[in-house]
Amino acid sequence: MSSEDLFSPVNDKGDRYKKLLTTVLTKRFMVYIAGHKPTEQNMVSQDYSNIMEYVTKKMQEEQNDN
Amino acid sequence: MIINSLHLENIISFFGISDLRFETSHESNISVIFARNNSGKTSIIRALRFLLYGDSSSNLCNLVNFEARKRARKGDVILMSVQVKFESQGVKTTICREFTARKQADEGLDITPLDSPLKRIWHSSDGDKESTEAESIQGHINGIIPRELFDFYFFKGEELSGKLSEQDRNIVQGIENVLHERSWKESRESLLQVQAQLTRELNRLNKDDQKRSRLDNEIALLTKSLSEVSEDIGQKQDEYDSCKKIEKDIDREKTELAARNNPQIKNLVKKLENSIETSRRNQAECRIRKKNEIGRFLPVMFSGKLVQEAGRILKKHNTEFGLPANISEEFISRILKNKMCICGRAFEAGSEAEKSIIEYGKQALSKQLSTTLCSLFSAVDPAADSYLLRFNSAIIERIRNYSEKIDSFESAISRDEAQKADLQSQCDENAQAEFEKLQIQHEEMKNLVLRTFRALNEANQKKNDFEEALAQKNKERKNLANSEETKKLVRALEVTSELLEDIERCRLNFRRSYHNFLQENTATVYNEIVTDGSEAVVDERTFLPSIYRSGVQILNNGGGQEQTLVLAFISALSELRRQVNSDLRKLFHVKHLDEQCFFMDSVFANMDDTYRIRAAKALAGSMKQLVLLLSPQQWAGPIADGLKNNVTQAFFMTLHTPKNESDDLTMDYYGKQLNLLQPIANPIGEQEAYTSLSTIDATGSKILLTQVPFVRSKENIEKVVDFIKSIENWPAPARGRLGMYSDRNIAFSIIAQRDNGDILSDKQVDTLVRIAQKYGMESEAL
Repeated sequence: MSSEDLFSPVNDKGDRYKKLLTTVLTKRFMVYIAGHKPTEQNMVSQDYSNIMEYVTKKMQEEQNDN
Repeated sequence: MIINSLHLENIISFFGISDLRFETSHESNISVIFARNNSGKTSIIRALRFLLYGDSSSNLCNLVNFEARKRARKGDVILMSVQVKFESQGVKTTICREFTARKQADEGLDITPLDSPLKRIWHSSDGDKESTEAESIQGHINGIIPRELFDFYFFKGEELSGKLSEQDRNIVQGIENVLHERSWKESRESLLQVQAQLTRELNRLNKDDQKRSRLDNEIALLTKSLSEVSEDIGQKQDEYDSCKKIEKDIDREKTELAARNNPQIKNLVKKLENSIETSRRNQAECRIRKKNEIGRFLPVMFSGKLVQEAGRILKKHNTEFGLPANISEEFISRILKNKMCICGRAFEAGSEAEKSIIEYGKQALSKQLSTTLCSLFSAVDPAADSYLLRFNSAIIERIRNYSEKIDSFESAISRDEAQKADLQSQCDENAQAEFEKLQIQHEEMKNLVLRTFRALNEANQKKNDFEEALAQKNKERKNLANSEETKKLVRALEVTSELLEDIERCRLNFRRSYHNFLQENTATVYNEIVTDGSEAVVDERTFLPSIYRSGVQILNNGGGQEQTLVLAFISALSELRRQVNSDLRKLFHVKHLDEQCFFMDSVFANMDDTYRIRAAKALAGSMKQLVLLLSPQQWAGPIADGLKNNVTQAFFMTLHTPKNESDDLTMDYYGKQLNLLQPIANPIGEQEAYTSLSTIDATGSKILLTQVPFVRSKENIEKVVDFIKSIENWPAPARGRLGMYSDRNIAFSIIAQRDNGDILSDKQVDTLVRIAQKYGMESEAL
């Protein structure tokens, strides 16, 4: 399986969405050295921020298109 | 993790120090460790588990080697140690766990430290660096070999077949680890938390929406009211302006009217008033002067008939007229007392003159002299004394003049008053009526202006109130999130749900792909070994392998198939782990996964020779490092043939036992007799068996491995150190090592390794024995 195949279900959703998905997953797949791992709450906050940032940009783009 | 060396000291079944150095330079390195059954093969795996994860039982006493414990005297300290040197991510590292046990008087052991923390030493060109941050080291180790995968790399063959079951948590967790199920799960859980947070915020915003809606209504009402009141203010302002204008017009008209009609009259009236005033002033002055003249004339009158006449007149007019003010009571009293008139004539008491004076006094003191009296004097009896008349004629003349002037002024005053009244009368008739009419209108208008002004003020106040309320409501509304935020949150919720769905889809895609990978690799190895028509099938859901024949699962397989399935599956799972790591590294920058060593205990146990040959061939060359723990029986021809080309290192365990075993004591390894069983010559009390490890080279040349405990003293230590230095130059390079055995004794081990075919000569061995004996070593050490 190639790395691209992993995201084949979302390949048609655009690079930005794919990047968001990758960002969400990265934090969890990363192997952290003990003591350096962000807290669970921080990781949830990061996900929240990333999603809101994605939505904001997406809505701005839509406004610009209109 | 490819292991370079393993050091065991007084741990589990291993008494003393055992050092195993593994060959790792080849593409595929197979090390074999020969041992009789129950010699302690599993102890190696147990020791490695203890090293990597600590002792879950928290009772380190169980790990202390019995022989070391038995030999220690009360108060002695025994050192237990497991140490592995390996290379990971290009860094040479040593990890170790060690602890000491002091033997107590009651034969118990005092363990220090109780948790035996994991230590880590990095070997770099800058020297060795030691870290004792157990948590950090443990995290590092878990990254290399997660605890749940330990059994896949360090396993006992006989026990594995039953473990490939969904009921075995270890295998399930191991597979989940390889598939990063935890990462997928945590990603989903994180998104679920985000979803919950978004929902909470959206609910809050929805409440805000209700409030916003209410505020919008209130703002609309206020705006409407403000608009109405503004309009009303406009009207009222117009009304006020209009009234004000009218009032001003009236006022101006009044002013103009007053200005147009009054000045002439007023001037005339003023002039008349001034004239009247002047006349009155002059008249008053004339009266004063006339009075003065009369005053001067009066004394003349007090004589003869004049006095009598004056008295008569005064009597006649009684209270109507007065006399001059300067005729005081004192003056009258003096005249009466002196009986001398002011003209110098004497008069007698009781005379008419005296009576007149008295009467005059009464009148004069109570009345003011009036003009009438003066005029009366002016018409005084001509029969009066002529002298006196002549004497007073000038005065009388002046009195008459004054009287005339007074009359004249009186006439003027009367005339002017009449003229003034006439003028004023004219004024009322011409303008006053209009003026008064205007005045009434003006008053009314002023009242109207006041009323409209008040109404305007009230309206303005109302407007201010509305504006303030509106500002307040707008502020409240502004503080509420706008609908844009709600839209954003709704959108974020949609994206989160989409992410959740996609993560699940990606996970299933991920599993599907890697299931195929695992299926293919398991089947490949399995098919290489098993040729009975059965096939290995990896379940899509559990990822666990089963054996099928003709599409039907075979539950009661022969040991060979089951063992082969385990081998094939573990091998494929290891490959899968590396493949997953390789794929994920391209996406998530996860750490590179090194090659992993395998310790397989009795892996060929249940196989027949055919399978053993094939399994051996399948294993040979398939792994970077494989350590096979084998019993002599398993090193039968087929296995040896299959593996021999890949065996780079060989070791054997010697079981030191107090029992009399009937089995063979030795094993033949390429012509070398490996001493697998060593009876303890003189067992003391309840003697337990223990194990020592020795190394043989790949072709069977003997390596001497020994441990020499000796009495701990400065002199002995110096001798041993000198000896260690001296043997470094022997034909067969030898290494010596000093280690603490107990408080009283020091362990001294020597490893002499064959190099280019040279081995230690008998003479050299004898030398070692002599030296050891010289140090008071135990006789069985060699």
